[in-house]
Amino acid sequence: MAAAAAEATTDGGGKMIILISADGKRFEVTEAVASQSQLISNMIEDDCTENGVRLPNVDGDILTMVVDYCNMHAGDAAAAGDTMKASSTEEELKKFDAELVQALENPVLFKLILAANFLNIKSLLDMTCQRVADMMSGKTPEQMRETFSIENDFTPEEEAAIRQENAWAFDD
Amino acid sequence: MEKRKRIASKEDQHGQMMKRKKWRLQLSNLPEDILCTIVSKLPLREAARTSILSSQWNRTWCSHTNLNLSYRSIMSRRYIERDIRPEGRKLNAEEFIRRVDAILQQHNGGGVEKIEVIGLLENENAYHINGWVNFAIKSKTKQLVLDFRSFHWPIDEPYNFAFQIFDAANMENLQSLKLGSISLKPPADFKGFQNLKRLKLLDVGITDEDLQLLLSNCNCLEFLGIYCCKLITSLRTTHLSTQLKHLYVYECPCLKEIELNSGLTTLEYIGPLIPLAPPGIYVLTNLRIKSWDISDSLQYIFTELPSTLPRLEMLTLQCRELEVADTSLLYIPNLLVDFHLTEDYFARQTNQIYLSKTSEIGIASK
Repeated sequence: MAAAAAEATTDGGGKMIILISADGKRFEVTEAVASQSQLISNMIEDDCTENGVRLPNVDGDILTMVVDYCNMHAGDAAAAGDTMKASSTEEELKKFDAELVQALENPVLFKLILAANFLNIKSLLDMTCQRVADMMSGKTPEQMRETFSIENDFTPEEEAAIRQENAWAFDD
Repeated sequence: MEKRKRIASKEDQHGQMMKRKKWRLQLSNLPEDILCTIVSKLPLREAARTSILSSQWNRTWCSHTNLNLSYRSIMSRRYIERDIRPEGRKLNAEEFIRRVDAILQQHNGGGVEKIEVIGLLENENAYHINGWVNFAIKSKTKQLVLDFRSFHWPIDEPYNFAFQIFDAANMENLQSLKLGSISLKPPADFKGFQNLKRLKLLDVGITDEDLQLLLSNCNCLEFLGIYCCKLITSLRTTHLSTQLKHLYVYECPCLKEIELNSGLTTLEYIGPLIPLAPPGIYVLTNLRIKSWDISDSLQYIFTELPSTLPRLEMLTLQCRELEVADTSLLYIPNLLVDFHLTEDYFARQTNQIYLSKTSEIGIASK
């Protein structure tokens, strides 16, 4: 899937660069696509992408998602000139984004957050963090602990003191 | 709500399943700054509730970057209900101040994106409000909202904005300022908010001269909104040159004239019709006028105005009772007439257009 996405961009022209995941998978993408990562954008500026960009923090399966995301969103920027096309693309993008994060199990979602953070892709980081915030919203503290495996290390007395200190947040 | 519950229980099942495996990346394993980013996407009240999750989470919410401090967000319903009695209103203001003080005291004070204080406060609360403005400066806040408008109670003495807290060095982070029911008297040597891009004044007590002084040196200003400012009689943006792109004027009862800067591209004006511009050519591309008494000026708007606005792409008129007979608006070159009726009917005959009640005519470029 990633290979297909990478190939599709070769038609679009532009210089290609290779991204190499922690487990050695290689992804060929255009500079325009890769530049959505501020980290890689800086490397392109400094001319140090010639031998491929090694990303020792990012696994192949996560990088597949990141590359898919960047391919999808780079297309949007290119089509922005055409208003009609851009509006339909915007809807497609929203759908794509929602589907990308919706189905992910927690650990995969967190790995994707770490990758977005490391590669410095602000829109992807925002979207994935928003997904976690949405999962937290509307839950009681107990439900949050359960959903995210957070261990309560407070004694009942400490917990009562914190409730007291932030009483405004707990009263309805 | 139902849907939310279902999703919650599904995740709980996942959580149970996942415990069996050995080591799995958990939310709490993410770096603190990412947890702060996540918590900042929660409303402040929900964010503060995460303080109780564990000792690791205890102070994460104290880096919240979007501090929405309003009655709605930090006061519970039982307080808001007693707001209808004068003594209740006073008690509420005191409780609101206590809560805002407590929240800002716990905050770690770094890199705040936006602070919004929305409450029924007056100048007698100035000591606390000045403290919050100080916090905004120290936390490098980019957007500051102080909105003390009251829709039920008259304000005895509006808060007097503390210009003295600002100096050239500490105001550089401020990009957006919105003030409601506040009195503005900038000192004579005021140097302006040098990086301010958006300024909105709502029911603000400020004179023509003080507004000039406030705007002088705001060289980055892109948007200026003036709403119901009762002391303003004349509005001049000529000295703001090309940066100011968008001017919004809403029902300023004493306003008699507006002088526009040459770079303005969007003007929205709501109120009784007044001279909008001195003679000259403007680069306006978007003009919206909403007024009750527009009929007399239609001939001017459709025939003479376009010649001073050669780049006009969108002209929107909103008015009540409008009758246009034999207007030449259909013959304005390069303009396309497009009708949006918000209410009632219109009938079009050759060379005659009749509109009635609240109608809107939009004219868009071909």
